Amino acid sequence: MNMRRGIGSLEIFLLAIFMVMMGSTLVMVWQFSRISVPNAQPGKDLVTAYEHAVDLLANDARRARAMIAGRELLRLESDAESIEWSFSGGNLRRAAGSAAPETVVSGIREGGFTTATPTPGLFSIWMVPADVSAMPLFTSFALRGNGL
Amino acid sequence: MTRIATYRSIGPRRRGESLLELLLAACLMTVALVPLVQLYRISRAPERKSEMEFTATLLARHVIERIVALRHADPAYLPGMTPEEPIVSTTDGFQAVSEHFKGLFGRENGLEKADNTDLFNALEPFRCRIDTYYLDGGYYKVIVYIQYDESGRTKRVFLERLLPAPTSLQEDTP
Repeated sequence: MNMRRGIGSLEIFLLAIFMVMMGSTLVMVWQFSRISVPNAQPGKDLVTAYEHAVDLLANDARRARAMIAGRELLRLESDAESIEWSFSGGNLRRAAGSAAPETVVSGIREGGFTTATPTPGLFSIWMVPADVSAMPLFTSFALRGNGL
Repeated sequence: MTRIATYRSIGPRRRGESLLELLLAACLMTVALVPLVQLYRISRAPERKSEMEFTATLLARHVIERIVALRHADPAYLPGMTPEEPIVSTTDGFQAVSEHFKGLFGRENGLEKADNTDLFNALEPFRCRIDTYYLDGGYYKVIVYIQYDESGRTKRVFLERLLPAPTSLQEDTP
């Protein structure tokens, strides 16, 4: 005859808690792994596209040893390859080596690259989106392929 | 054998936990879960607060990258401490533009409204301040603050960069 009294079992309760903790841990590991991946969703919205462009430019500038910067064209030269960034047709495009150009940001009304005399190893990028309510972008990158 | 027999006889009679015991266990487990919840919050990707904050971060990045480039061109270069300064040419023309935003777009005194109205309007609300410190071990710390007003509050984004001080300064420093 079963003499069981009270409600539930401590073992089942502990098992449930253990399962919750394991599930939470897996979710956290998944979230941590997502942080290390750059925003891989270009085009989702303008700021996400900006972030993607900034990540790519930072990576390219980190390896670049020299550059040729024009008003709407930027060529970054590294030991491994030459990467070309350009504004054309309202898009910011990136072409690495002989690969086909990739559109990184679209819907740009005006944009360009600029450099200044006292900082030969620095280029700036600016963009004004076609949507007047959206924010423009301005930032700069130093070439770090020379041991910076 | 006797012991096994005893265990078997006790097994089915094992009683369940009382409500008090379960509540006590739940309390202990809740306390144990607090660090787990904190870790969960930390592991979440930082949310973007606003477009203003995003722009301020990019402007701070510009200053840091400019310092890195100047430092590469002249290893003795160290940025100086500056008060809050506008980053584009002001309409009244009385306030000096931050040195880190001069010379852009071919303008010695910073971007003017006539050059690019949209970009000027976007950058006008921001101001730049630089703090510097000498640290032990021959290091020079640069903190770039970009300040702006949003929702009636003054907000600030900052980035830091640690630079090795030039050898001559290290020798002079007691």
